[in-house]
Amino acid sequence: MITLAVSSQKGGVGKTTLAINLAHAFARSGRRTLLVDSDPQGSVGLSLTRQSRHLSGFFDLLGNPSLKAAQVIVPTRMETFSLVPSGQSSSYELSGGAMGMTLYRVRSFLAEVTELGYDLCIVDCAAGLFGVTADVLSASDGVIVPQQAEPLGVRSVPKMLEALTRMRMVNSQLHVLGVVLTMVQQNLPESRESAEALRSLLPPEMVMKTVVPRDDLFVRASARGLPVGVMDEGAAALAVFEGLRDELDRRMGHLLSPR
Amino acid sequence: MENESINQWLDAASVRALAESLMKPAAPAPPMTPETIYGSGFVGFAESGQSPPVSTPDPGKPEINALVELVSAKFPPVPVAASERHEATIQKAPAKEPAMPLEVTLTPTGKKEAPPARPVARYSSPFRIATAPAKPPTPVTREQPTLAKGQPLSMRLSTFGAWLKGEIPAESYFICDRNGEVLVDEVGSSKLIKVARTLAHASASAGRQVGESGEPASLHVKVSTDRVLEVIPRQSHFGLVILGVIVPRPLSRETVASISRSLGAALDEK
Repeated sequence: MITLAVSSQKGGVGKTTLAINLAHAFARSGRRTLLVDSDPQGSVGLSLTRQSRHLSGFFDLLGNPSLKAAQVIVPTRMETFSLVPSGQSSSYELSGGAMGMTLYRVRSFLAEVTELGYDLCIVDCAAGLFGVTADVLSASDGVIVPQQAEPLGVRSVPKMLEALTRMRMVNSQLHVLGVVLTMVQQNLPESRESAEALRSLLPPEMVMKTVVPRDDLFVRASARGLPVGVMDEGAAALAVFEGLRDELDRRMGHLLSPR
Repeated sequence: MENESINQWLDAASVRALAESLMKPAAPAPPMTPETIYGSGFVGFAESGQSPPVSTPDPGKPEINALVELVSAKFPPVPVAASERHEATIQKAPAKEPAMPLEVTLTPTGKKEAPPARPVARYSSPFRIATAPAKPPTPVTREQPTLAKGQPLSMRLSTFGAWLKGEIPAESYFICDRNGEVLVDEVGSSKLIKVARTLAHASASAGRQVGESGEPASLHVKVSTDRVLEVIPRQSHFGLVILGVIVPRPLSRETVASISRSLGAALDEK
């Protein structure tokens, strides 16, 4: 099984949207895909399930070693797509950093998920590359970094790169699969120029060719608890994420093996 | 140019260099087989399923499966002089010993008054006990690493690792738990991890037998003519955690104690 973290230093850049829709795109290609919400805000669960506030999830696993991965996996209508909500993080938040066992638990969880036969686990991380996110990255095979196409997003790039460099000192197997430009607004000069600036700043192989546009459809999809590609008007958005999936496939082709 | 105004906020060259380094495979995490690293003199343990040859046990004595006989401050002296014991063991070793490439060099006990002698069972060992190193031990470490509260374990261990390399001439290191589950591994040798675990467990069980605790001794194995694997076990709230460091020569007892304390602080977030 391959574990991909969707992570960024900055908040509000579209991590959850990217994680949900990428997971959906991979699941559509026949891979058994698990989407895990490791953000205590629980955005994945809140986006996709009405019951998410009552479900056990990732943080319950961190706090309770007797809980098994299979007990927190929530199936979806798509046979190849399941998710693990963030769960009830209050006890974890109360004990905070005292939970030094997080890395062990994350690894154990991923080992169980592998045993359950998943091909791919996509983990939506909280903003910042510290705390639980650092532990998730320590146990991941690859990281995808969404980057908002706005001037502030570009200015935050050095911090993001420094944080990733530190993470690779901890996990030398972590592949930086690429930066994905998100919330791109072609009709807004600042957004366009930010995207260009980022492409000129970073090596070409680091920035994914596919970009995720800002679109009202994402808000409407979230309101209905669906990946955007499932929406009636979602064909174009679906094509975007399938394009992104194909790009990722090429970048890690030797790691991913379709069933 | 708007791009220029955005890039004025950044040092484009250093950002580019950092980004390029991220797209390359991470730092030489080893084509490190022990054989290639430690020269033709290193053979290591036999592959799993094969038992390492051991010296023939004395007839009439029970065969004990422990691998290493360790002497440290934790141990009461055996009723024979250390020099005699070394000699005796060397004599027991077969003339040709292709499967005994590792040498355990044991640090003599500290200044503490030794408790009354107690007979210690003789272990069959794949290791040959060598005399004390000719070179002086590595100098004592200075300050402890600065560990921020609330950091995740991985980052604390990373900080510890950076500190470790600044304090001693460590070529590479690994940290694993008692089961061999790796937390950090720059060495890339499962055999050396196995050796480290064996030493750590033998040290811990022998320490329990004699009922002593206190500052750790120097446990090390010579892995080539100019490299030593120093093993520093540390009890933490995760249980026994083992640090293995490749250094040019054995560490002094004070250095081991200092590293052990720092490792403990990193693990337990003191």
